[in-house]
Amino acid sequence: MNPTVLLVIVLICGVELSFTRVIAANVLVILVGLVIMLFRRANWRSYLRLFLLPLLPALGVWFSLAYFSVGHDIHFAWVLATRIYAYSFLGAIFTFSTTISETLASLEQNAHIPTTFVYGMLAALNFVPKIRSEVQKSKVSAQMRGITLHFWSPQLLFKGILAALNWSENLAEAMTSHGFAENQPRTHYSVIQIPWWNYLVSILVLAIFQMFIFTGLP
Amino acid sequence: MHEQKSNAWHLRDVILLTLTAILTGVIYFGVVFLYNGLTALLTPLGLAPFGNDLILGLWTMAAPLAACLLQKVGSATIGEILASAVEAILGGQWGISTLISGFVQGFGSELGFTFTAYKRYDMFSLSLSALTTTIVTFTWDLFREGYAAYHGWMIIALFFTRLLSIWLFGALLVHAVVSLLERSHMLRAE
Repeated sequence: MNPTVLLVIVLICGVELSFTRVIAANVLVILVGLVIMLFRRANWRSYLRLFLLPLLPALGVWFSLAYFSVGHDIHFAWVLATRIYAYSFLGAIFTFSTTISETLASLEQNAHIPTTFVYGMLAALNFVPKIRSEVQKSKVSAQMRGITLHFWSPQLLFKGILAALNWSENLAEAMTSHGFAENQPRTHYSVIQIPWWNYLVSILVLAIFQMFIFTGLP
Repeated sequence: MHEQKSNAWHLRDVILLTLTAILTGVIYFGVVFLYNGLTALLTPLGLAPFGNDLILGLWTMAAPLAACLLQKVGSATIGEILASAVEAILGGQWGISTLISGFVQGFGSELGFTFTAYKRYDMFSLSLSALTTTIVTFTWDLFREGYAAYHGWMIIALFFTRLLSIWLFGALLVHAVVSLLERSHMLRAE
């Protein structure tokens, strides 16, 4: 499926999940996520991750609702615990169906997000290792002077932002000198289109989802 | 440096905000473990939401920081959406659904700067922004996190915990960082 179409569906479902009290809808999302993961032959670690990471928040919300909600609403406790899993699996549905570069390319070509944003983000994302080492460097050089920087120290963020200011200037200039013009029309090596059946599938998916939400299921 | 700046978004701004988002992500990565530990402790007591609200300020910091760095209309909202996109891409726990909370948080923070007509980027605006962020995200979480189902005392306590956290990180810490930047004359006036 086209990443932009999928993103829209996932976001609509995500917002709707936030306001519904239907366990069945949450379970549906989880099952769809599992089917997609099976279909994509996800590695067992992904299953483990998706089971374990939301476990603590889900337990946390279940206990606090069971103890402190008005009338000790156990049904609502289950709604929220499964909702947390549903959110995680919504994410999985997206990650296992497409890649980041495909998504960004589709957002540019299909959703017409300004190219400045798409390519700016792409450029910056390559800097993750550099930023990591910059933070480490700041910490170590502070330690050389007998100062320990914690995550709440403004100096740590300040030094990082100084580096980011520098890099952003340099990167932007480098991209401009390589012929990137802000928000000018571009030609594409791989043209991404939205096949007609994508619309059909999205209407179907959203219709089924509404049926789960509005037909009085538990 | 508080002159009115142009509202056009340049490549440099987008890269800067994305880098800042990654930076905060790198710095606060360890806090996730703290959060998990705290939640684990609070879970049997049924007080886990306090763990969440106590560190929420860290997730909402990107918005006021972006507002102060760029001083444009919409920079808080766009900054927070970029930050949540970075989180989604780099494998945050909630994947793509962080985009929704990113928008809500960014919008909440933006209101604080809108109310001061995008003229002030000082402690007053930052505190106001912390208040609007708290009100908007809390209203959202009355539904999303089911806060509306709790007893009144718990809702009030959660609200003030969240306000404190967002103010500490989004106003006090951001203000400290921005004054360091101003003193270093690195914020370029356009």
